Amino acid sequence: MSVYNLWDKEMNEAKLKTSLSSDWVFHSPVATPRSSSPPSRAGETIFNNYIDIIHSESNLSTEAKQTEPLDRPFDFFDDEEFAFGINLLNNNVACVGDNITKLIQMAQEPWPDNVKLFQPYEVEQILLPDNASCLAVQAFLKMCNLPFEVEMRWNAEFMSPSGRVPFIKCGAFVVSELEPIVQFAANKGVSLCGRLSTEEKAEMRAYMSLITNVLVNAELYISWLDNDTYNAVTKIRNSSVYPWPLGWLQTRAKRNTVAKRLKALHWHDKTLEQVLSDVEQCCNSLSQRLGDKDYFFGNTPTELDALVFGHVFTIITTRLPCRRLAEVMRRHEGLVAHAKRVDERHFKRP
Amino acid sequence: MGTVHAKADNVDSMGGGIFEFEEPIELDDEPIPKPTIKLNGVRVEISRTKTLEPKTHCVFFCDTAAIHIINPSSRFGSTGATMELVLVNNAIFQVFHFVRRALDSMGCFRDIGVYIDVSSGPGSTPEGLEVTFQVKELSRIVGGINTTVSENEGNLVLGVKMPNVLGRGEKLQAEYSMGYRSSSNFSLTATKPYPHKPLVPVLSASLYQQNHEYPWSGYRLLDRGILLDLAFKSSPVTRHNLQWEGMVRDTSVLSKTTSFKVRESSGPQMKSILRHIVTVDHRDEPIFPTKGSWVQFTSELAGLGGGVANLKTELHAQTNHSLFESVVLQVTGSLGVLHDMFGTEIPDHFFLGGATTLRGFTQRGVGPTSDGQYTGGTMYWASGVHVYTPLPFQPGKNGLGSLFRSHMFLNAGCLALPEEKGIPALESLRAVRRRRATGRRTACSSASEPTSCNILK
Repeated sequence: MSVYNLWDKEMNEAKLKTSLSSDWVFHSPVATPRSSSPPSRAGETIFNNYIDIIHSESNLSTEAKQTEPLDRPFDFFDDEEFAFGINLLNNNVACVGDNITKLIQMAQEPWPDNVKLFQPYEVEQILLPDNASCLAVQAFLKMCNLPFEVEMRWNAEFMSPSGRVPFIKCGAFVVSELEPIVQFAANKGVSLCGRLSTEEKAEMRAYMSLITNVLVNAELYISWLDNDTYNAVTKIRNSSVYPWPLGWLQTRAKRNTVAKRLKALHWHDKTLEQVLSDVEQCCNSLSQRLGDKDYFFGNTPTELDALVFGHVFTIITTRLPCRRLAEVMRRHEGLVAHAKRVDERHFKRP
Repeated sequence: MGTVHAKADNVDSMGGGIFEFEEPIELDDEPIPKPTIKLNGVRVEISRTKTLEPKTHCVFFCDTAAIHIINPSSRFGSTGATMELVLVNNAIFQVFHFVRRALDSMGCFRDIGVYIDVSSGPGSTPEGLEVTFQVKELSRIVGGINTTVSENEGNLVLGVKMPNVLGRGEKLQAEYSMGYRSSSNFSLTATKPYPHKPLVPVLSASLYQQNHEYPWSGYRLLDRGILLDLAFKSSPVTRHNLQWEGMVRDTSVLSKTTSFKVRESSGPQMKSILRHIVTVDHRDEPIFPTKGSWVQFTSELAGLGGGVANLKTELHAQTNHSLFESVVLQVTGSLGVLHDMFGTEIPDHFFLGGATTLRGFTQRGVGPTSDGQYTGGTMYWASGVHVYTPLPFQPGKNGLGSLFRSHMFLNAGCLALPEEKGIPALESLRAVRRRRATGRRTACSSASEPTSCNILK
């Protein structure tokens, strides 16, 4: 049983709740500062949802706990999407403090100016897969015109609630990785895919998971399992922030973790050729979807564009001993042009 | 227990006229010193000693500071030794107590018995007494299961000890403990005493892994490291420890509500620490002392290798005074200063509050906080006045009841984290003084509460 099923039960009530929560949003700026006055029902349930998200140690623990009906904190178009969002936030959001007023305000407040994006050191530390995801998040935030500052920390991956970079600190909230950040921004009313139909959204999500399953794994494979790259680049960069012999221990431990992950996904036994042909296929389908358009879905960017840009740009600009991944990528001129377009329009603007 | 011979069989064959061995033992140490004991001005001469049990050797030999045991081959069962003591002054029980303590502290024996007789037979002196120490040696492997309650949680400790591995008091000790918060610790320690060397050094090396959760501060620690320790005594009451500790510390975020400040200090770090601890102990008992004072001074230098460099100094002192019969007044005080060079994170900080540091305050509950989580400080002072009395109506006066005391206390302390960094020490000291005042106020507010009365073991 999944979280999805829990939400499913309330499908017939969805209309009522949507109206309630929008009603609440309207009144919230007035009602919330007074903590003594009882919060509205919608506010209470939103708070409960947040508390559940925040206090849950993992995905699993929430399944058993939620017995009473819960309202949906975010405006999603269908329950499947809602469940998807909750699932993501479960793992990747952390928040300080239990104060109901503060929490609800934080959830509904507009995007603050002092948002910081934390990532590893770009020059000497960051690795190919991390760099791609950091760039993707940066691209997404720039596409949304959300202000943020990049802050580099050696221990960014240990600070992150999910253990992966990058993460943003937005008020009391800490949110990591692209998709939770997208959901988090959507909660604040900032979304790139509002005009898409449900089918298009499903398609977009499918492409995004294609990238996570193929490009990310290929990057991990090249970085950690390809011996030339591992010895010449990964080992040195990953241990650069630690004193000897801690760097060696950490690098070894991380390599084992990555190998375990790839083994579970049946990528560990692949040869480099197989990995590259998988990448080739993935790029083919992305190129086909992109076609001659500026962006994947019409004339404005979506988070899929941010993700594709992050990976394509990182792969073609990073110099590695194993040049073949970049060569495969370069053959897809559509994708390279797309990456250049995003770079020009969103990163090089004053 | 083995047979006790009250007399040496062959006085003439004694090595150096002092010792006799049933079988010659090759001692590669320095020549055996002159067996005279000085105990608080009482001089005791040992005219001869003799070991019992032909198969085993338990040789006591003495120098002016203490009595030591070298036990090269004995294993299992009981052994004993007889010595004839010629007492210059009549303080024989002091001597026995002293020798028993020395035997006890070796940790190799149990059932230490002392038998006293008038010296007789050939070679006896008219004023001499014959004293036999009979001991039972511990078996080769000793195991144990016990439970402990520390500041964090209750633990179940499984321990295995090999006392006297090589026959000279060497010890090998392994411990594994499980806490109810799913933390598990282990340690492996090897100890080698040098009882006959000047300053009585004890060398030990340990390997450990410790897992701690600090919900008050929102982080979890996983320490793995090596600790080398050289302990020696520069006087009977002054004990020094020279230590080197190399460790890898993995700090991780405990929960999703952890403050961002604590989150910032997570990640693995390596630390190499040189430490010197000097302890002067004039108390009569370590637990529930009735008189005397105790001072411990710890200096720590971290940063010779590793990613953390700091200087840490701590002073703890305690003095005890019997007000009237079995009512003891104890005054305690402590100070600590941490100077950060680089890489010092929250787990390095001092924390104050809780039963072991500042009783009466919540765990770590003194000092700076960040979003409700205690982040510790770099300077502190703490003090306390304690009164220990026997339990009211004295139940089980001479039995179990004597292990308990009622305890009244008054504690005060202050922990500060001066924000200004890199400014002269004087300036930061002034900052501490200012904070001291606030610290005193918090202390006063807690002191004005009704004095809590705890019963503690």
